[in-house]
Amino acid sequence: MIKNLSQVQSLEYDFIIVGTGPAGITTALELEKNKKTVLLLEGGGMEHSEESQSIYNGSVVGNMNFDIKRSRVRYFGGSSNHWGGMSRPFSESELSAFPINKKDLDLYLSNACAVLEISDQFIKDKEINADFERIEFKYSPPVRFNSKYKKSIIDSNFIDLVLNANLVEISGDNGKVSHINVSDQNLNFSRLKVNKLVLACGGLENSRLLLWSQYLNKELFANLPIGKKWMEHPHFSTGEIVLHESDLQAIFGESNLEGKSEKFFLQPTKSLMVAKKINHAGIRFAIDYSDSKLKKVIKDILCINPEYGEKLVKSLLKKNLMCTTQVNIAWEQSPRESNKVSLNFNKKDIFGIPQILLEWKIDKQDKKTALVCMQRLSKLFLDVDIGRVGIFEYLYHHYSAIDEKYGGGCCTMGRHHMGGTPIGVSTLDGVVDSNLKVFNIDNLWVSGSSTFASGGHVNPTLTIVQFAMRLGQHLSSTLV
Amino acid sequence: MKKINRRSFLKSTLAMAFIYLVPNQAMALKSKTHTKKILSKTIWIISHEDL
Repeated sequence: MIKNLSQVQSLEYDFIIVGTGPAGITTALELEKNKKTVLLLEGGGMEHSEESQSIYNGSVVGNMNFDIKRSRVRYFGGSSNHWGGMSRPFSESELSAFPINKKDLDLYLSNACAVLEISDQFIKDKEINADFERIEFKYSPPVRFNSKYKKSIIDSNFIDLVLNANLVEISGDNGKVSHINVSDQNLNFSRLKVNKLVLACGGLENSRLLLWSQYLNKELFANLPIGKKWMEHPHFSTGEIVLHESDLQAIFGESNLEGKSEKFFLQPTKSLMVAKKINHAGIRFAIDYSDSKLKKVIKDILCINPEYGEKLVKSLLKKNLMCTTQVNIAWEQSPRESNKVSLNFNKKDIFGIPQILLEWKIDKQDKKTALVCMQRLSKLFLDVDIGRVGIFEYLYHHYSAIDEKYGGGCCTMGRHHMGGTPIGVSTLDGVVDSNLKVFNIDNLWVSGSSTFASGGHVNPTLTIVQFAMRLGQHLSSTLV
Repeated sequence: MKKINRRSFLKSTLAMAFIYLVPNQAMALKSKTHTKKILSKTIWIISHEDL
């Protein structure tokens, strides 16, 4: 049922969940299944508004620029309202920094896939050579949590939804949250009593709201390393391949991704990652059939290596169908304390909360992952003598070159905001424990990608939903 | 299946002719500027020595 703040002020709920993205809604629905009462708070409305979106204003300091306001969505359904749908579960290796077993998460894979409307039958990773294995992504339609769950949440007997309810402070003492302060868009403030609180406001906002509450309530949030180890998935075009159309299939096998620009996906094998000390990466191949691109590439190669260029031209003369393929890589950033969310006390939102100041850099190690992948990919094509790989020159340069030449243009971040409140074994390495409970606070949990201890290379939505289901089950079965 | 269009085919043939007709030395000089431009963007790995 939809209510307003004044209606819920005197009510008491088993749980209050702040945020209605995939993490918040999934957690709420799991609790509903177990007949727990939930108050669900959304800072925005049911549709997009610039007034709500502007609460996401912030600044980025580092060697990359991206629009921090537009990289997430602030209305019912959260960032599921703009995600692309690519889905794949984290591998065992990608979860190695998490203090849980992959089996714990796999329990929720089937149901999470059902939520995202994809099959849970993922083709087993297939080794291509010692360096690479072919992997599968599945494509959600993509599911928009707004349209999918609006009716069921409005009709729910266990969930009350308040829109335009902006969390402005979490307060309490003696290791327990007692109240939250919430404001509507007209600055009418309400103080709500908390039994159990789940923060699910996204990969940046979870950190900002906790940092602000920590600033106001130092004792309650003492010693929590909030905001640190923030990560993205750098996602760049890293090179191109010239080859015959059938060559990719000859190396990688069939592709069933009709209508998708990216037809094949590889990842480095564990042995390559260990040998070269690189992070996880997803290598994506987008076939380009344009004549102009092919001609440009052949012209380039004719000038650089006439012998091979001649071979390409001869092949064209024999009417062999050739094409180019753009290589994109989305790769993992190592979690680093220096990449962090902090508060900008010089700029505040309408509720008086400091805006985000995101200190974030792509460093040499981050770029090494992409460069090594491209070099080994070049070797793979040379070894089988099929096509040739060109590596974009910026990968060889110092990291600052990315920003100047590629950062604001053709290349993007994944808009995958991870870390800031990572899962860990203690406050030395995390903000939340293996059950996503904030360390040293009895009744506060965090749901969403801000709890990721490492980012892997995989798009995070499926993993967010798996973790949210796991949290909902945990809260239902063990705590009430 | 996409077919090679005639224009592309002719241009490729001309490129081929260019390779045979222009002496290597002259071509190297002519392509120097172009090569420089290419190298500022893409490093082509044509042989194992390029790795």
